[in-house]
Amino acid sequence: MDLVRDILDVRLVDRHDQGLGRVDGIILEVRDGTAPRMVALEVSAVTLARRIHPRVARLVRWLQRKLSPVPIRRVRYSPEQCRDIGVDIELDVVAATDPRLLTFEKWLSRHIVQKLPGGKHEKESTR
Amino acid sequence: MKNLKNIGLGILTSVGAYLEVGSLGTALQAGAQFRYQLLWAIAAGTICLIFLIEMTGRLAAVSQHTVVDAMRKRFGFPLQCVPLLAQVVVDLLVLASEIGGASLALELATGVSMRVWALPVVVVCWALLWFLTFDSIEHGVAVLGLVTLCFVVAVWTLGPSWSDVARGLVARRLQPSAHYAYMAVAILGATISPYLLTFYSSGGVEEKWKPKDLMANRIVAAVGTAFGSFVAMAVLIVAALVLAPRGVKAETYQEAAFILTIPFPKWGHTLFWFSLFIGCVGAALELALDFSYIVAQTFGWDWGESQKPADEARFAMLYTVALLAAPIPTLFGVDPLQLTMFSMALTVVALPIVIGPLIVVMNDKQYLKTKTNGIVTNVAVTAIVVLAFALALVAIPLQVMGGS
Repeated sequence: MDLVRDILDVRLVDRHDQGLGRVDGIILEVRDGTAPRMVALEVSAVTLARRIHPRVARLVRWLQRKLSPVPIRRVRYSPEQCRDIGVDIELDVVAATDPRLLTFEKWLSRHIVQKLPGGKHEKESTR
Repeated sequence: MKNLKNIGLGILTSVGAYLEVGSLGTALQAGAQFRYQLLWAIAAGTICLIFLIEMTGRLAAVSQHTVVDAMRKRFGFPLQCVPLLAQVVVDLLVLASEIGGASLALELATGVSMRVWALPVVVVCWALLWFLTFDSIEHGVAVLGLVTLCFVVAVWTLGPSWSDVARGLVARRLQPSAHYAYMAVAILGATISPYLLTFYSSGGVEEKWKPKDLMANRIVAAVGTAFGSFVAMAVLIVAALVLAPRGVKAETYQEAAFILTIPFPKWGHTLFWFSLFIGCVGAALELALDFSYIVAQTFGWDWGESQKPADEARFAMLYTVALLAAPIPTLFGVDPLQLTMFSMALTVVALPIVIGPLIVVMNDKQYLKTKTNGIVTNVAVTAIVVLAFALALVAIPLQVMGGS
């Protein structure tokens, strides 16, 4: 498996097919005399920004600290949590019940979207 | 039978939703200033669009993934953020033009300034996105958008010289003027809008297309887009027959608003403002959604217009923010047609950046399995990308030399 081709930037979904972001970084363990080993997949806007330039990463970290109403932390998944690797990577987690995951999405939903009229209701369809 | 219904509905949607502020504005100006001589630009743009739409629809049907999904995975974020940024800027500018166009349509209808209408138009667009599902919006706009067929009826009523029309379809006597070239580029930009591609593939995933829908996709892309382009051609022909002989250059929509009163003396004015309004509102909904689609798909967030907003809070807030920003130019009194023409030039600049990666994506077996591009589609997409690069190089100089 080619880590950059097959893992990096792939969409992550939980057991109920809910999107968890994309693989923004891959954590490798390097030991003398052995091949590098993948120890975690990382989802983090700062990691993603660092891939463009360290200054962009510093700007994103600063913006997160100043503007985000909830602390946004990087999330790491171990390779053992991967249930299936294909066009997407399915992880053995459930975002809805895990307080570490989708913190900003949940805050936005609870504090803004659900308070707007129609935010919580099923939409009208013509079908 | 169900497939036939879907094909019919798809074609109807393509025709009803084809005309928007860009295609209407460029066709009006082209017809008023160069009569039939730029019909070929609409025809050429349509052929390119058919190929691109078919490809993005095929990707959605085979892989249940969108163009943006595939681009992020194949090219990685540092490369993908370039087309993302380009498309975000273009989407927001064109969205602002559409809000301006819809507000101006209401000004033409009521006599009340478009500045007053900008916020109500935004509220209506937001409410439609917030409360309705993807299919309701798509089909509702398409059915109302069929009013734009009045331009086709107007062509028959006015009775153009069909030999002159046919000559306009062949680019054999190009005018050596910067303004003519600029208009050609703007028409191509309005026809091959990048947002149509990302929106179409996202729509395919929203509607859960499967490989069995490939033939329907091919027919809708070819027939729907071709019929849709007939509406834009009809606008150009009517402008050539009504505006050009009267020396009206259609530099503003107000100037061109009487265009349908010649073939339809009683209803012409109403038909014009209503066509402009529906076309602009429909496109504004698509653009606001497209903005949400491309950002959410880039970052791997959940997305989908058919879910309740609370389930996809970031997705819903993206189109809300885009719509909040969109009326700003109108509130400052920027002329919608001027903004449209500027947006079209920028669209052309962004075009190669957005469609270039399709050459790689459409040959990716992991996504498309056995349905990757064949020789014909690969040659076509390569030619379109080369054309897009050439257009991008000349778009800004032409905007400066021939845009005024």
